[in-house]
Amino acid sequence: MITRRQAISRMGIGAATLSLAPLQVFAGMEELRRHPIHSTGEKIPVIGLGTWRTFNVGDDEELMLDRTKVVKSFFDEGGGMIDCSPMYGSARELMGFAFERLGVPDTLFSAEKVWTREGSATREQVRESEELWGVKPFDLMQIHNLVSWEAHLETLKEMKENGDIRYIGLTTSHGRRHRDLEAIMRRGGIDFVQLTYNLTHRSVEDRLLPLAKDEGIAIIANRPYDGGRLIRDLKAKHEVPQWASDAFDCESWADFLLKFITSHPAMACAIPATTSVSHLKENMQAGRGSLPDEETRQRMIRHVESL
Amino acid sequence: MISEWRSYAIEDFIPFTADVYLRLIERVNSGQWPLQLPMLIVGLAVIVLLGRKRKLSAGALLAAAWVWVGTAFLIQRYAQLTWVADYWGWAFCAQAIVLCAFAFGSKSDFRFRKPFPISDCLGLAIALYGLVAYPLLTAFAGSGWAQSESFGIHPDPTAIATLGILILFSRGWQLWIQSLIPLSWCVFSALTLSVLETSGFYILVSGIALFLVSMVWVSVSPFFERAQAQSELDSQGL
Ligand SMILES: NC(=O)c1ccc[n+]([C@@H]2O[C@H](COP(=O)([O-])OP(=O)(O)OC[C@H]3O[C@@H](n4cnc5c(N)ncnc54)[C@H](OP(=O)(O)O)[C@@H]3O)[C@@H](O)[C@H]2O)c1
Repeated sequence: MITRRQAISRMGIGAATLSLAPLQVFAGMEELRRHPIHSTGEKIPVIGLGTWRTFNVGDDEELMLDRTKVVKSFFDEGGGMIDCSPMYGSARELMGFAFERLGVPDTLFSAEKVWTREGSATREQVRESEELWGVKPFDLMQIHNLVSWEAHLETLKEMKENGDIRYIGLTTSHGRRHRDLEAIMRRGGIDFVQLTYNLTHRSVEDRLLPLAKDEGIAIIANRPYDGGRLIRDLKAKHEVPQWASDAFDCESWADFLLKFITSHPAMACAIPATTSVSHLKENMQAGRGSLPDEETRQRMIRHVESL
Repeated sequence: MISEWRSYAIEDFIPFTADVYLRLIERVNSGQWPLQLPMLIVGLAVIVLLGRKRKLSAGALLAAAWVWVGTAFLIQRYAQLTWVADYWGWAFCAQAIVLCAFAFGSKSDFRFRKPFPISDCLGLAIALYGLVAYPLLTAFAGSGWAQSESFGIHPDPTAIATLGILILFSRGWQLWIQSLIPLSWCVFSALTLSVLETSGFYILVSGIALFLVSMVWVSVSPFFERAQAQSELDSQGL
């Protein structure tokens, strides 16, 4: 159970008058690994940033400043993709707040979503998100949970042609609607698919990931920590196994879990969400150093299943 | 479709984290201080007025507290974090209308009397739990007054205190109808707090448990009382 004191120490309040110095990628820091977006060959850093729950802080300026520190750290570490949605409460407003203070970083790869049942409201929602973020055009516009996907997809294709967005994507999570997703992926015209993939949720390995490779679709892994439960349990109860550290650069459970994901050949990036700068740094570290090979990946699965 | 629904967990419906919720409680507290004190007096006044059969004024006072929490907390603040809070805000306003419409309904024989019947003890205990104990417990559990939750300011103690007042002064179907929104809110809020893993969860669930026990008691006790009266008559050979 969380008390106020714990919550406040987690938030780092007290440093509310933080100085948000301009963004700087620290010199000497090893660059993040980059994976290609197959449809163009453009490369993006393998660790991105999610915003569900973590960036929904209403109009609380103290918390907005606190989360801005997370955004700043993300770009200081060389981060690229930030994934957001109209479904995530005030997260879009927070992006605008953060960029107003930090400037819009050159390395930003903005990933937004269309989330409305109204098939005719695609452009309006994209425009609203552009205003809230203070970013235009978005790099990636995804259809959230395949909601009214036929109508949105049609409009997004037109928007892409006109240069109003750069890439088109679809999202799902928790293993939902995989059949529909598969059918849409086969129709073509999609650059990205976002789905749940982590050490304990691997059902996409059988069909969707191979299909994405065949169709040249880049994959974004959401819920890399199964919403947080997975890494919290592992950290609380277990040590990172020595054999993993011997096999590849694996110092933490974040390395173990995120490198399992990003070492899959179909994977463009994973997007863990966090409210904490120290967790963010740990997550970004997983974008550096060597990755596990296939044999080690299988051992990682067996290890986590045995715990 | 069914299997898709099974893949949802409660946490998928709570779009914010614990620190954000705790700050919301705090900010509402500091923004509305010292309204907490008059609201406490309003809550106590409702009980006293009802004891004196001033149902309409009591109903109006309690309804005002519900409208205030519904608008100032739920619609203006909480709804920034989750769209459901907007609907709850309107539900709180609807509850105000329900309270005024029934003005607690009929438990015509109510008066403060000695010895207190068990059901009245339970009702009073729940009402005082919401009015007096709730701010103290939430301050203690959350380490500070800034985070304490009060009747007429925050929805949980408002709903719990109201449920206690209803156990005291209402019966039958009217009790059920008037309890529907406060009880539903308490369940919704308890689920939220369980996902957020805040200590307020236990405080709220204790209130809900007390209310459910009381509901069972007020539903079955008339049968016991009737059976007891009958057996007394029988033993007197009447
Ligand atoms: N349908 C969709 O489009 C869809 C569905 C689900 C998710 N997503 C996207 O995917 C993103 C990621 O998924 P998610 O947020 O549900 O879950 P997640 O990233 O698997 O887990 C987030 C949780 O992990 C914790 N965490 C992060 N780094 C940590 C570390 N190093 N050590 C310990 N704990 C750590 C965070 O807590 P702290 O704050 O304490 O660090 C947070 O509670 C979302 O934010 C969203 O952008 C999209």
